[in-house]
Amino acid sequence: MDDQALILGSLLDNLAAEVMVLEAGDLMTYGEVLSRLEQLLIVAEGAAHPDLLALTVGLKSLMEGMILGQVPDQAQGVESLTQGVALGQAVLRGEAQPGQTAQFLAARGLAPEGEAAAEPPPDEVPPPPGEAPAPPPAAEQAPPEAPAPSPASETAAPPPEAAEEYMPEEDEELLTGFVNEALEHLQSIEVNALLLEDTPEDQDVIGAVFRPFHTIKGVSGFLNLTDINHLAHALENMLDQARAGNLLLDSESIDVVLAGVDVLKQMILESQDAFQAKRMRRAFDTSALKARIEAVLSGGREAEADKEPAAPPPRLGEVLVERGLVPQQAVEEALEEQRQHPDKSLGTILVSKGAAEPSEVAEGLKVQRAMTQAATRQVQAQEVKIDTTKLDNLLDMVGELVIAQSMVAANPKVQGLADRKLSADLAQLSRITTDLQKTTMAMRMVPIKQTFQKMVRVVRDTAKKQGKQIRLLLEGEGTEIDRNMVEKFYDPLVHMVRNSVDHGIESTAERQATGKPEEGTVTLAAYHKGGAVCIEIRDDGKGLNRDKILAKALERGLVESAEGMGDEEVYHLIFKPGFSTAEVVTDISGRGVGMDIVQKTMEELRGKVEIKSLLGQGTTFTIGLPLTLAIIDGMVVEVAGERYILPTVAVVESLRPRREEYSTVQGRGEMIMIRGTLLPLVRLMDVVGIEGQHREPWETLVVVVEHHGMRRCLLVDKLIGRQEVVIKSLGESLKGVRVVAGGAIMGDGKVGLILDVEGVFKAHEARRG
Amino acid sequence: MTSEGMAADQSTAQGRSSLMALAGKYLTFQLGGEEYGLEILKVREIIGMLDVTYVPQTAPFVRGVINLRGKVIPVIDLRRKFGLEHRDDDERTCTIVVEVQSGSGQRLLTGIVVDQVREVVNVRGEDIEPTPSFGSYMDTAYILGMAKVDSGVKILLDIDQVVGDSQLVLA
Repeated sequence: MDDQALILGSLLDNLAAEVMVLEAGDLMTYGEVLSRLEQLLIVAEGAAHPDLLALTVGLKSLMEGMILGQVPDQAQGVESLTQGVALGQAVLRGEAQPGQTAQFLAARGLAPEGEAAAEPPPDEVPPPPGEAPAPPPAAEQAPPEAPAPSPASETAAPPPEAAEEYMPEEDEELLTGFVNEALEHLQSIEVNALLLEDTPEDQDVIGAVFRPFHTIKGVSGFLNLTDINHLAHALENMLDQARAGNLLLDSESIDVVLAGVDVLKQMILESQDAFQAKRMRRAFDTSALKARIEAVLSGGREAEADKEPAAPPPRLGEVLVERGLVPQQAVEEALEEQRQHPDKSLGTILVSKGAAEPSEVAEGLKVQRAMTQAATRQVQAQEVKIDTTKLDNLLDMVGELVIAQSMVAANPKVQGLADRKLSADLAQLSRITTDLQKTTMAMRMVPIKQTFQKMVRVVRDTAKKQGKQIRLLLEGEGTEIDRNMVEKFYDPLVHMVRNSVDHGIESTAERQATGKPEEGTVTLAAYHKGGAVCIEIRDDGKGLNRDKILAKALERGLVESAEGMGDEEVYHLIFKPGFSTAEVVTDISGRGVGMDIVQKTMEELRGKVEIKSLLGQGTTFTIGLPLTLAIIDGMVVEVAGERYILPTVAVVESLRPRREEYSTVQGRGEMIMIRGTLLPLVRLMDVVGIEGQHREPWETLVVVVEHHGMRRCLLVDKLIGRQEVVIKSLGESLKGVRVVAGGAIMGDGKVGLILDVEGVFKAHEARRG
Repeated sequence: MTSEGMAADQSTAQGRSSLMALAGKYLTFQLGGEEYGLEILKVREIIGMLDVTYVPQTAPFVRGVINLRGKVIPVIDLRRKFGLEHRDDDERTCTIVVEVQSGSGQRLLTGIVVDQVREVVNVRGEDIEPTPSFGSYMDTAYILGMAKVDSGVKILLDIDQVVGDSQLVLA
């Protein structure tokens, strides 16, 4: 093999590796592939390889077309690229059949004179008449008569052969990358599959479900995870049929897709576990699932006849009025006419009446289409993945910058300069550093959207099992929340949403009897309120029954008497461990576990739950969470010259007791009487074990703190003030220190310790005991 | 008899090769009248004395925590750890920040306070002697071996044992 062939070979190999992980729509990688192809072209031009040259030219034009968005079916384009590169490798090895290259190029419309497009472009704007899905806005779910145009795409291409040839050693990095990516893909499939249930013919949404499967298939094949590869392939195939318009995705086939996602998720996690434990992967039985896929596929063609109505949210009439293209009245008249002639579309009527120009109707349709598509596009937000440790490092450094800046500004010599320019510059510097800190903090925040969207599935599955009709409304999905909080918050949210579906919303029969709409509504809302994030879980169900809850609580011994308990206090009993009012224990909820998780997590996240309920009208749970876990609102106190921070949430009040309010028990246990209640006195100095001047409580200050309903008075020397501090871990080797929850860098650059109130109480008891 | 002799030979041979593996660059520092060596790869940086915040419920040899450019790390007083008499810090006292792997594989940064940092020496394998046994009155678990270099004998510290394994927190 000569040098050129060697270079060509290695270029092709690199290209194959890149194409293997290429994802439709990934412009960054597109660019890399293109530059690779250009390199290849230069070398191929010098070498005597006409076939390879033609192939490269063809692939390059395909790639360019894909980058410019001229190739309508990007996934198909990626397939073609993969096959093309594999063919190139075969050509180089002399294994290709004569004429195979020309055939390959011609089949994809990549022959030298051919255009880049591999398929006929789909109709960009459907012709206005006869195409307009425009039922009257008032009418209940009037079926639009417009089936989406089915582009005649090729049937599924065989899986890329090159995948079999490329099997480098399974190394950890690749696998971890695959696992992370695949899980993300599965998540987006889930979201889009649910979207697909409403708009089963939307090509964009089908594509958004199809492509991730394709990627998972490709990479799993590359990593030799054959079972994952096969299942992903089967699912991909099914969706490809849907894409080609041969199969309509009904609720049943979406169930199959979702079941497939679940199995794939397990398989992928298993592959990671197995790799880490260095054991064989557990085999999964996917035959049942594959049989379901087959069943869907074989039933597909018949299903086409009775297509379910798609319900695109924006109506043409509304769009036209909103855009100011057609007056409201004309639309109403046209709608009236449409009611009498349901076979005519709104667009046709409007044009025939002269109320609108065909071009205006066309524009309205275009807008309508874009609005429907916007829902899918939103799923792919623009983001960069960053290792969280890097982010934490950045946060640390910015924190230091702020301190350094304030130290320079506070330097007496600098302050003595009395230079206007200098003080203006320092003020500017301070603004910049503060902004920088805010921005860095904001980088830890993610929209709550993803968590909310996971609930769509939870509601759907729970409601299906219960035979209830439930609609989930999401509000304020863009609300941002601390990334670390999102993970911890997920489980409780699932429990609360399930609880609403399971216990909150009545059965369909009950709802009918009480004159409510059959379909129950659960609303998830997120918003910011006064430095906190609020999340609401609202249902229009039967509401909480105070008497029933109380009866149960008394029976279970959770409370001793109902006397003097407010409604909210009663409602909160449902969060107690072991509480359950459901008459029937279902496999979903009702075992009394779950809701107490909510309470526990709320404590951990320093949040709280409010419950409002109206019997027969519904219940609203409002969860209030701090904006971020990284910052704590603290009360800085001084004890024997050292500063300590108490979480403000735990602080009840601070005061200087009078001498007569102080008493001792058996000469040792010190107590303070505060408004008629005796509270134990904790000498913080003794608990933290530092030397200092012994003081009496009436000479100094006590801070009353509360934890789990227990109150103690902490004896401190001084209250310095309230301050928001960034919580820092003291590191693994000091994890065992129970009295301290963490450290914080104070304004002078020194470390201040954040006290753990529970730990302080325990240490105090240990000293006394 | 012969088999015992052979076993002894073998164990010394093994000891020799593990000592040879210790060859490399060491940062040396002074503690009392003795000089110690730290594997240079474990040293992250050398800093002057920073303000230390005392942490409750910790072992007496833990001075507390410092702010290392925004990170909070523990600081150990090596004199106290080794049972040497107390000496006030002076301008030569400094903190060596070392990085070791914790039991769970995390990177742990820890500061160790020493009297004075000396130099970086290259220690050859053949210059390393095994730790002599001092009987039960002295714990030599923290010592890798003794290095004979031009400037004298250096005690090579097993820093992972000193900071990684030690119980910083009082039960």
